[in-house]
Amino acid sequence: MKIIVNDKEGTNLHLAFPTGLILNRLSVHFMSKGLAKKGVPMTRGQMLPMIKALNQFRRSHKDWKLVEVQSADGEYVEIIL
Amino acid sequence: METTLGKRIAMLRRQKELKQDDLAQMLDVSPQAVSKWENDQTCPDISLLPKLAQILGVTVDELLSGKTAAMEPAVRILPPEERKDIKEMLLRIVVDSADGDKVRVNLPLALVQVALDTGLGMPQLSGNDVLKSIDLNQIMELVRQGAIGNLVEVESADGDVVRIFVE
Repeated sequence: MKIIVNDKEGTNLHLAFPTGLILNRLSVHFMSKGLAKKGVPMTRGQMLPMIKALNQFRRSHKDWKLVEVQSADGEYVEIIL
Repeated sequence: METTLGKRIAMLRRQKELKQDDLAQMLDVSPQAVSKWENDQTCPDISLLPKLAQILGVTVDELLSGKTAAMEPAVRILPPEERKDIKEMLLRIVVDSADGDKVRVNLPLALVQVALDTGLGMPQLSGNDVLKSIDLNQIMELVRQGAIGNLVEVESADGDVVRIFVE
């Protein structure tokens, strides 16, 4: 998984993570706890099938651009599977 | 209805409120040449196509194929034999906020189905008020019935525009 962040001051951040490090049972556990604290009702049981589906999709669609955000003041974030 | 390249040039030129003379001058060709293009007697030289497309406000591909977003219906219902497997389909969420922020999310439809099966919906998945009001189950039902294209287009009172495409 790649995360690209370009801010308006010209800082370019390109982060590449092994996807398995982010999308796994342990991270889902922490993510669901974190989301619960933020008031987002998403349980571990709901997240795990999604992670599995995402992992399956990733195998057939390498470098898939999942999210692209461009702010009005020039900041840019991209998440690539 | 099939249109020829000449008819498309004429139509796009009129939309831009240009005369044949104006277009000819911009492209440094004779007005007769433009007239011949529009009557399908000749075709514009390949080297002129990028500039011609730019003047007419379309891409070269759109100019040649005639397939523009404006010409295609926003939503199509595919017959059963043309429908794709949901696993191969894509849900594209496009959010253009009033203050200029742009968000594009490209989700495999299979993932959306899994989320719905586990009881998740837009209220949990998105912080955007317009998106929260969209029922993904209804979208999936439309897709099962063969609908593709721009299935949802919502403009909120504060100017945020949300579009959902299924491809």
